[in-house]
Amino acid sequence: MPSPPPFSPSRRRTLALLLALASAGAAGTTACARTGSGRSGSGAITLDFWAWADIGQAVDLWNSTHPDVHVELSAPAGGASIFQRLSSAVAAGSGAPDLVQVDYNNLTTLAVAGYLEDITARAAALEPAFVPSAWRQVLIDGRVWAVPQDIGPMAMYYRQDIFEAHGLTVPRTWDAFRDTAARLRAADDSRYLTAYPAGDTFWFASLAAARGAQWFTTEGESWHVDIDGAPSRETADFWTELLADDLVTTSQHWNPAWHAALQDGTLATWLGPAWGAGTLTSYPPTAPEGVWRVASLPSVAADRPSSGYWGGSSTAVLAGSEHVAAAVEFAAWLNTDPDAADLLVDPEHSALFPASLSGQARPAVSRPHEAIGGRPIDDVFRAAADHTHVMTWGPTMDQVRDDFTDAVAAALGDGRPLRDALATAQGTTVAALEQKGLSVTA
Amino acid sequence: MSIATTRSTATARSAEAGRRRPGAGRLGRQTRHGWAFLAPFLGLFLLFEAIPIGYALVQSLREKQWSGLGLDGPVERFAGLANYRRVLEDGEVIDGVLRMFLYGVVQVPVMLLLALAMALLFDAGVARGRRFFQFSAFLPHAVPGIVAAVLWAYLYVPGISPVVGLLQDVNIEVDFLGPDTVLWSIANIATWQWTGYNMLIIFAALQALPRELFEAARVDGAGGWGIAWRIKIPLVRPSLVLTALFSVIGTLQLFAEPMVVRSLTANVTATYTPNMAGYAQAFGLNDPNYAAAIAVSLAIVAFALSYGLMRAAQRGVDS
Repeated sequence: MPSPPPFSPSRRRTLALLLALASAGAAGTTACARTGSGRSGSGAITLDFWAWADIGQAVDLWNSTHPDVHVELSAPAGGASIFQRLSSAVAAGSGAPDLVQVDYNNLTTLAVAGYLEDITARAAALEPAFVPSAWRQVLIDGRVWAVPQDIGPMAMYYRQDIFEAHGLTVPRTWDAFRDTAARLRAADDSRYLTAYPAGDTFWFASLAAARGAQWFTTEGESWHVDIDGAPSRETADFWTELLADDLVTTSQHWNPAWHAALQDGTLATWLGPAWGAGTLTSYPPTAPEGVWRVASLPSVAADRPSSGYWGGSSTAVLAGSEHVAAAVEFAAWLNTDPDAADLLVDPEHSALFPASLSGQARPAVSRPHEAIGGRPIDDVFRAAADHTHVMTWGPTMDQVRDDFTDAVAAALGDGRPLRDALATAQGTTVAALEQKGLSVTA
Repeated sequence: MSIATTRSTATARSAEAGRRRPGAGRLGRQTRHGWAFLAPFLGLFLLFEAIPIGYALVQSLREKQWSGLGLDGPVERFAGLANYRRVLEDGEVIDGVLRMFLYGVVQVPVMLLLALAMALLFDAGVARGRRFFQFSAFLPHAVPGIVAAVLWAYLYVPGISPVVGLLQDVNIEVDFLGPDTVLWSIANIATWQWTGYNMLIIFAALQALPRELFEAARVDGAGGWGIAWRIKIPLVRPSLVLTALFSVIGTLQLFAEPMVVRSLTANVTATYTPNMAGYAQAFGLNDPNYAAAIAVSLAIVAFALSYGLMRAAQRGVDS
């Protein structure tokens, strides 16, 4: 397993310098913005920040150390409907925040909706502070739309006790994964190696990305849509075969039945992201304590490990914010400051897997996980992030998500191969982009 | 039948006469007072009905258009009826409407028959502990819709549901959330929730019927069945039409139940019902203009259906 990238003192100094420059520039503009704002009596400005992660402590730390810029954190409607609230607020012309937490897969959609500020000029210098693959997730058409916060590289959580009981070895390739699934079924037909999550488009996308899929690319002024390209089809065919041979079952992520199946050992693995470790204990755990382990995501060839990103989030600045400079300064601090990172990583709160190199270097990232047998999991996910193929997301991801989800359900219901769902989503996505007047090549 | 109708309209007329305010003779003052009494209603109606509907109409005639990669944001412009043409050509919306028709054709009669049967039983005083049973029948309606949906949804999920578990113990495999069954699982939630409400409306109408009619019928030799079939049901027909109307409109607007069930199974698509399609467009796909067109179209369909139902009921009365 490759060790985490060395974080040399010289690199740290460069970084600190860059950050200092960035915040100095931001502070200068903040001073100007302040005079125009009457939001707070003491002369300080207030930034409204909508986020769903439990990051209040980090925001408190900012507020106690930055008297000039007060950040007001809120989690409207628990976070799930944050973008619905956002579109209402933007349409209403008031009540929109200055900053918002955005999952990477929604970034393009929100940018195209006209909600986000292009922060290239202010934030481009932050690039060296982040895991390279994380930084690529906030770029659309070479412009910077957010500051990365946390990342979700994919790996494989597996039940050590079940593997041991049946003499199974951890599969490193997808072929081995199939063999392992067959051996487990043969040994104990009450168990499956894993469940195909029928409703989860972004889970599928992360596995397709690991094989090199690029669903959206920008070519000059056009979107190129390639949802049913070869890597995605290979991914779909792999799961179609496993399902046809009853080597894996189907389920739906976060469904109570799925949680129960993970706990009672019906499922022996979960192909999940770095932020998913808490899932193993969030539902009343009935599995023996500490039986989970984590290994790299299987890949096509054992000597070419690869992974994809599922979820993860960034801090974006709203177009129309009166305090763009201060907002960028805060977003940069929140996601690169070591003390802030400690609070973001804190397992009692958001338990994020940070996108910044300074965050990744914090000891809390390497903390032992009880569910994982008291071991740390960061090495596996750090390596996964290094091997991750980054997918650029399109301008209509809710449509892509819904259409692919629905097409997968239809394909599974009719016993058709999953690649049919890719073809459906490809067609409806191109149509949706054209409907919006966007330039698109398929 | 005709006697019954005459009788019921006569009752209604005399009731209206009884409600008329004394001393409301002078026209000018009456008109002024009339408007004064109407003002709160008209104000609220304008604010919460007319203006939003007008706004939806205006929105439905506009569209957002992008160019190139779209990163410069949209331009809004007048679109004429383009959004409505999209509705007619949108296979998912059409499928949703057809699905709701299928659902309504089955669920509405089943629910109303249940409600009618219960109302007749309570009215006949058959059941012991009538108040208790009436209360129990109405209770589901007092449970907020989302809570009811969540409650039932968990009874449907295999691995969690005691119902599915018990059935499995006796070797009956059911999948309440399967592609062919999930619609009826949703129908079951709505039936559970609304039967008691409809029962109450029909029961109230039954209670308002003059008792001497039944005595006369009994003297003429009619049994309990005969009275129910030949007298009570024809007389509560207006209530049945009313409950049917509410139910048909409710069917077209089905939303909360399928939204909750969708979180448990991929077999409920994002555009499963027309309202869900509108919701997805407005909030997920950031196309409030198209969502407005879906909403207005849905309102037109609901209006046409209601009108047709009223006309059909009226024809039934006339014949």
